[in-house]
Amino acid sequence: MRGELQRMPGVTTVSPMTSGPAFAVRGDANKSITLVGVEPEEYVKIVALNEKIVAGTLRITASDAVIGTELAKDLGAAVGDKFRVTTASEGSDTLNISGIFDLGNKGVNQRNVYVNLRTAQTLLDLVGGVSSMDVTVTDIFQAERIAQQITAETGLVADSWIKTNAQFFTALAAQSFSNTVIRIFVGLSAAFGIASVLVVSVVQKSKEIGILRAMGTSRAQIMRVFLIQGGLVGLTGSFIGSALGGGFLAGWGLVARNADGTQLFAIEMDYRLFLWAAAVATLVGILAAVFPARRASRLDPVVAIRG
Amino acid sequence: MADDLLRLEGVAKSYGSGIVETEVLHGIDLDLRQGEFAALIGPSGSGKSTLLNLIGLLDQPSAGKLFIQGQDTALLNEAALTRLRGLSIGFVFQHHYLIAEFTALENVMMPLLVARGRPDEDMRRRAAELLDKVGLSKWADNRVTNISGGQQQRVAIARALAMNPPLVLADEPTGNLDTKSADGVFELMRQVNVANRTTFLIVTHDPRLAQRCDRIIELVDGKIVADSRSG
Repeated sequence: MRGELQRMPGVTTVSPMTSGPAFAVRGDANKSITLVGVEPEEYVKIVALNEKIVAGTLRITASDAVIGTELAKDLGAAVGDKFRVTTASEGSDTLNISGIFDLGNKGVNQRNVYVNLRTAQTLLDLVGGVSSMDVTVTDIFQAERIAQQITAETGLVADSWIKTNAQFFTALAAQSFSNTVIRIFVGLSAAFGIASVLVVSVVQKSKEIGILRAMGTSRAQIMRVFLIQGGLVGLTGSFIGSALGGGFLAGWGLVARNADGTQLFAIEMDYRLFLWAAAVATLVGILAAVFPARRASRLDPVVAIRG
Repeated sequence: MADDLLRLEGVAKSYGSGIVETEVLHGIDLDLRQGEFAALIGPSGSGKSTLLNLIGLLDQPSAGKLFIQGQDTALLNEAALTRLRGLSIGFVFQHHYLIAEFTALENVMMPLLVARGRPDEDMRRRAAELLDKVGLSKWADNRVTNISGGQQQRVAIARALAMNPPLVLADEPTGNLDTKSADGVFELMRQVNVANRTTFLIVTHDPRLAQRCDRIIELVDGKIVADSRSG
């Protein structure tokens, strides 16, 4: 089943998980917890638990577990201490606390105990079984389609983040739409800017254009000069814009941090985006230059030289 | 005539249309032979510049025929006219119209660059030769804004000669110059005429300069009223 999921196009990681209710006991303290059995190597690809460890290390083995900061407080335990886990199915085991995490959510910090998948299966009396599988995909907006595909092919219940967070997704979709609209208008205003600058330069240079025409410069040559100029303006603009944008983002990444030092939100800078921006800007520049270039190429040399 | 460089047959030019149509040139017949050094004179508004623009293929006649080296120019399209203009005709204007952003040498190279697309050593050599001929070797690498008016007009003449055209049209080439510089520029054109058999047609207001040409064509109210050869 897992292999089947893993082979699906667009799927990057499959992490099986077994979870269920249990009690954590240490001395007099007895706390209700959620036992989460995972394969740590796969799980960290989905939730960066390793970055959230505030004490000890992320080591989840048959005898080691990691617990949240709140639970550690409630149990009065620190890294290296032991505690006992019991379940309704009479499973019971003593585990060593290898690390303490802070996931930034009090409920989770209080309840979740991450243990090895097999340990959880034994304790919950679910040997060989998993209660859920977390799946990551390359394109997050394809999640719903892939979820439907999983359901169709395996008969499992598959929920995408889009479905489980419908409102959030709607907000995100609206945001990306308004993003697109803003980009189109920014592109348009840049095009008009370039076009008006070039029209002015055609007027200013009309004598030179006239004399070049008298020397035997063809209309096509004159036109090419202005198209190239438009393209160069666009390209140069995109370099300056990319440098500024990249600089601001890097600066923002340094400033906007959570209390624990991790980034407030992940900012991805893909060099391909910059290449795209340069290509689009050059194209916009050339298109914006079409009107001024035609104007320049159609100047009457007699009028241009005399005027 | 076989050695006609330029022939005009009944060339007329009018501007506007309908009731406001005004004809500025009426039925001009004119021949220019290879190696001629001719002055075109006449009062302001007589149509001298219009005639020069027609001969320079910058404008098209409303009626009549214009032949350059036997080629009927009415049969050529815009691109072919542009090519013929680049190869056969050099222009010198009252104002030099050099391109301010470039050096004297680069300005002289400009027509070669237009014709061939990419600068090369040969162009550079040719331009340097021409600047030497007009006596400006020393100023080759100066920006054209940093030299005197007479020198600028010499650069403009060197530029007009870059493609070694059979015909050079000059519209008041000395109009902006003091007498001494004007004499120098005129002498330069004369030298080129003698050395290369380049045909010159010079529009001028200056009767003194006109007298020194081989031929004087006088235009009044769009008609040739006198055409005399001396010597």
